[in-house]
This record gives sequence, C-alpha cells and structure tokens, in this order.
Amino acid sequence: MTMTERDLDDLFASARAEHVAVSDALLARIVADADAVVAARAVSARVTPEFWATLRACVGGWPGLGGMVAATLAGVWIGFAPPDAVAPLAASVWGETTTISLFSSDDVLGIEG
Amino acid sequence: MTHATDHDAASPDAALLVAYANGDPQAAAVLAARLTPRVLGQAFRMLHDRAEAEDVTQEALLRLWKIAPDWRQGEAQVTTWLYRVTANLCTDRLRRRNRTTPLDGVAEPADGAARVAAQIQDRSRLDALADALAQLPDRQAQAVALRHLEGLGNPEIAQIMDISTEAVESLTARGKRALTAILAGRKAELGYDDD
Repeated sequence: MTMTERDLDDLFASARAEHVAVSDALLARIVADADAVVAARAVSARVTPEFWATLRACVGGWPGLGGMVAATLAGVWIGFAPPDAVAPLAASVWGETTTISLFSSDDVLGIEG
Repeated sequence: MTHATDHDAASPDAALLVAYANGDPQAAAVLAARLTPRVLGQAFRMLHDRAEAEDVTQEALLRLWKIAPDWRQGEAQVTTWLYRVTANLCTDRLRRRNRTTPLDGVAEPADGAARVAAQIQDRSRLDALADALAQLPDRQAQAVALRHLEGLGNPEIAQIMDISTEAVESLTARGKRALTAILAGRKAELGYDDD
C-alpha cells in the first residue's frame, strides 16, 4: 500500500481549504511593531542633528563655526602659498631649507662630458 | 482613532509602504490589515501550528516595517517579497522542529509503517503533511508549498525564489516524490482508501 500522487494532491487540497482567521490580538501586535519601528527610527534620526547642534553651541553658534572654517581654510592656503612677508618668519622658525646630495658630484653618470 | 481612507484602501502595497516609511500612521494599519491574512495563511498551511504561524507572521511583517525606508517602488512586489520571507521563516521553523522532534527519515514500508502509525495516530493529515515537509530540503519544501499549498504558478515561484522556472519544476517534482515516499505506509492513517 503506497501513497499515490492523487492521494498527495488530495492532501494538498485539504491544506489549501484550511483558512485561519486573523485575531485582533495578532493585528494589534503587528501594528504596534510598525509604530515601534517608526518611533525607533525617529529617535535615531534626531541623534545626528543633536550632535551638530551641540558642536555649534560649543564654538559660539554659526558665527563661531564660520570663523573656524575661515581660519582653517586660511591656514591651508598659507601653507601652500606663503606670502612674502611670511617667508622670513617661516625661515626663522623652521630654519633654512637645505639640499643634500647623496652623490659626490651632480654628474654622477658622467654624461655631461 | 480615525479610519483609513478609501484612497489608502485602493493604493498599491508599495505606495502604502513608502507612505508608512514617510510617517503616515494610517498606511501601516491598512497594510497590516491587507497583508496579514495572506501571510498567516501561508505560514499556517506550511506549519499547521497556529502559534508558530502567528509568530512567523509577526516576524515577517516586522521585517517589512524595517525595510520600508529602503523599499524601491517598481523593483519588486511587496507580496512577492513577503512570500519569500515567510517561506524562509517557515522552513527555519520546520528545520528546528525536525531537529527537536525527529521523525524517521524516508519511511521504509517494511518495518516503518507500524512505528510511524503509532507516532502520528492522533495527528491529522495536515500535521502529517507539515511533518513530512519538515523532512524535505528547504528549497524543495518551499517550492512544493508555494506550488501546491499556495497554488502559485511556476513563473511566480521562480520570481519569489529567484531561480528559473525549470529549477522550480525540478524542485517541485523531486519534492513531491520525496513527500510520497515519506508518507508511504501512512496511507491508512491519513484516511485514504485503496483505489
């Protein structure tokens, strides 16, 4: 005695005919989950603005933050292209630039005759 | 509490999901009312256990709520995505069930019939079917369930499982053969008379 394909199809048909009603409790849990996910997302979304607001308050608001940005950009610019008035000062602070050659003469390969 | 509008009731699932992600509180209620019966039905038909089916349903929809902000309309249907997630959650449960309450493997009619009969004598046919599904490889169980319990067509199953229709045909054919073998010897208990 073996299970035939038709028997299996009958079993599938019985399973398909089964209907299970959704309880109010289940629906309430699912909607509560949806609300909780939204609430958690709202909390995490507030964290980033609060961080920047705190930083801004520490440096004196928008004017302070703007000053910091301007000073940073000026420093970078002076580092790349120091004005003439700054060059002697830089030399006195950092010393003169010295070039060291690793070879006894510049024409180490003797190609200049 | 306000009721969902008619507009919401007529909106596509994906549009409601995006509305939910954008903070529309009614959208989740409409979606939950619309999708829960289908998910619960799928889970119950695979697991034949109401409590487990409810857990799976809640988990599947929780995953939907979490993915809502990243949902891209037009790329996939919400129902397709839910079929996949629910099928995966169910096979996880079946595997766990199979591990904790192992039944015999593919029944050997010669000596297995009496023992299996004793094991399942108080169970319904559908319990037996769920137990048999638990013994199939995950993909076979999913394909068989989507085809024969949900009544979906092969192209839709292929989309859900992200495989070709030929692969679906192969999985369902092998799955049915395996189920027939697993259920062999239980025919009388299941209430099927000989032809």
